Amino acid sequence: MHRLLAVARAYSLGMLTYRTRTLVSLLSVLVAVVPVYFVAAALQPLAAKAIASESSEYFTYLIVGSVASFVIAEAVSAIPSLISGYITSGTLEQLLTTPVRWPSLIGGLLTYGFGWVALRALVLLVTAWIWATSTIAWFRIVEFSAIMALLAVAYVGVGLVAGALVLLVRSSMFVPQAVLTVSTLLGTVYFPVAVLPASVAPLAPLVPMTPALRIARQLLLKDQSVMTVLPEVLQLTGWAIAGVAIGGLCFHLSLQHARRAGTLTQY
Amino acid sequence: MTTPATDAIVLSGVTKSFRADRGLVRRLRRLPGTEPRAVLDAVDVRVRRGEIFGLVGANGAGKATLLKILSTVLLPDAGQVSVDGIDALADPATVRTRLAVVPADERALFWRVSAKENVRLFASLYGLRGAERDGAVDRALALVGLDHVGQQQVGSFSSGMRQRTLIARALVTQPPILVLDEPTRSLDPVTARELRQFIRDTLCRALGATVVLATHSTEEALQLCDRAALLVRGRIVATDTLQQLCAAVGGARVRVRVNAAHEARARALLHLPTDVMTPAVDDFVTLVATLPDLAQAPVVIEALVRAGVRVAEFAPVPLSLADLLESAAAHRPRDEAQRHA
Repeated sequence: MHRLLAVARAYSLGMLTYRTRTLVSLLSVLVAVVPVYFVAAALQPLAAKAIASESSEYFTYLIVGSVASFVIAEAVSAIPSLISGYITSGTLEQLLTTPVRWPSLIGGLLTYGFGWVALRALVLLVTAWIWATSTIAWFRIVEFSAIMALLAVAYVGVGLVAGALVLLVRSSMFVPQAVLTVSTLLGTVYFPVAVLPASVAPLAPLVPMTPALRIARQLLLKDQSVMTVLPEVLQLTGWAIAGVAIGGLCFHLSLQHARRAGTLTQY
Repeated sequence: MTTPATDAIVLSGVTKSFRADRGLVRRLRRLPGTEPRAVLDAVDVRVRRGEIFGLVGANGAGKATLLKILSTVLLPDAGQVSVDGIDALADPATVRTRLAVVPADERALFWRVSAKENVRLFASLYGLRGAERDGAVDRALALVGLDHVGQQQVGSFSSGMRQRTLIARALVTQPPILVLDEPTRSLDPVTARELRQFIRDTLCRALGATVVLATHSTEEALQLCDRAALLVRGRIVATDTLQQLCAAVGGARVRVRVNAAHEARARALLHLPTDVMTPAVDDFVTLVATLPDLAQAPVVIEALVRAGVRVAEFAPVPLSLADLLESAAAHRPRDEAQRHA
């Protein structure tokens, strides 16, 4: 664990030196809420009935969806992006000449990104709480965070597969973009399953985002306990276990292959 | 594979090929140009404990590949690798605790954090913690003369300082074996000389580390290495002290300045072509000749003087890597023919 923390510390200290970028990124979250608020207010009469089981207000429905989007974007994109950069600079190879194991390395490198996602999500939720007419069940924030963590783990599996592809063929083959698009469209980020075309609606439960957002909204916007959404929690846990197992195996095997093929660094 | 206690590293029959990377589709269809290319061919090397061992070769000779195999980030196709008595292929995790690598590329550092944080990270990755780690970091930075700038970002350093940071990072756990990949590649001559002195006096003599150094500079190898292996297109063509290597494959080169009027006579005595003449400067011409051995110099000078040639200068010329490799390549077919015979 201390190796993971050491990597997290070095990487975070480096990222924190980008002070202006950090500030602008945080401000952009605040700015982005403005159009969402007005669009959501305009669509409220149309959406009210369709989202009634998950939220009484379309604005907060969208905010929770956006938080989950932040989480999965980081989970699927960070690993291939870091691996690609570190292959080019030779950093990956250097780190692998030390006794560090790859899960500690990847975990350490992801720590800052997810910390940053948590901060942006908090800013988003606080802004929504200030502007929204409905309430947010803040005392369920720990359970909500745990569900977002499970969602992150489920999608980190995709990130590991994309990272494995980078090790193998120098490209993530658009896997992160494809997964992000499908998850956003089918995962109830912007609209419930009920408004999806009948041909694709049955696919929605196959996306880990769908149960995660259902749980998240029940907790935070409907003030329901975890027990009321237990089947979805179990489903999401299954996704998380399967995601890490499959992604981890792919990454491990591709690392072995890269050691044979010499693709740990850019020639 | 049994490793004598005197050997820090033993490579035996190490072979490696790489597939030419021409795109996924071409590789899947096995199109021409994607066949594997041999980079190392049955390489045998023994590095003794406490010595500075050079891997000398041109770009693409296979030096970096050999170092990557030593540092366990690359697996050979065939052969055996022993580092500090440990089988590197069977137990790479233990080998990583005995050997540290100083890469050629300074981009492998975290540029946005301080030198101290860079070294601290590696100390932690090698399992050091708390006060032990902090002490080791301070010692490593002091050893390379960066203790006074340890808090500064690596991105603000000169190339020489970054190179020292890479060395400090490798030294932080005081590993018994250090692998340096072209350590003076991006340094100015003065800094390069200081670094060579540091490698020889501090790393090797004071700390007792075994140093394996890849370089394409014969000057660097001559100044630093106790022994060196000459790598030509993935094959070790000779292993010895560099002076012996130069003598064995290249002979002794000398620069002879003689009166222009006696050039033809001098050329004949020095076994140089006599159908070409060198432009004269102040009535003298400079010729470069190869002697079988530098010990022959007095005999040659005497012969020139006896033949009436006015000799203004007679000095040995250091063999460049290009000369050495050309000579080695020229010797190789003969060596192979002798071996087959």
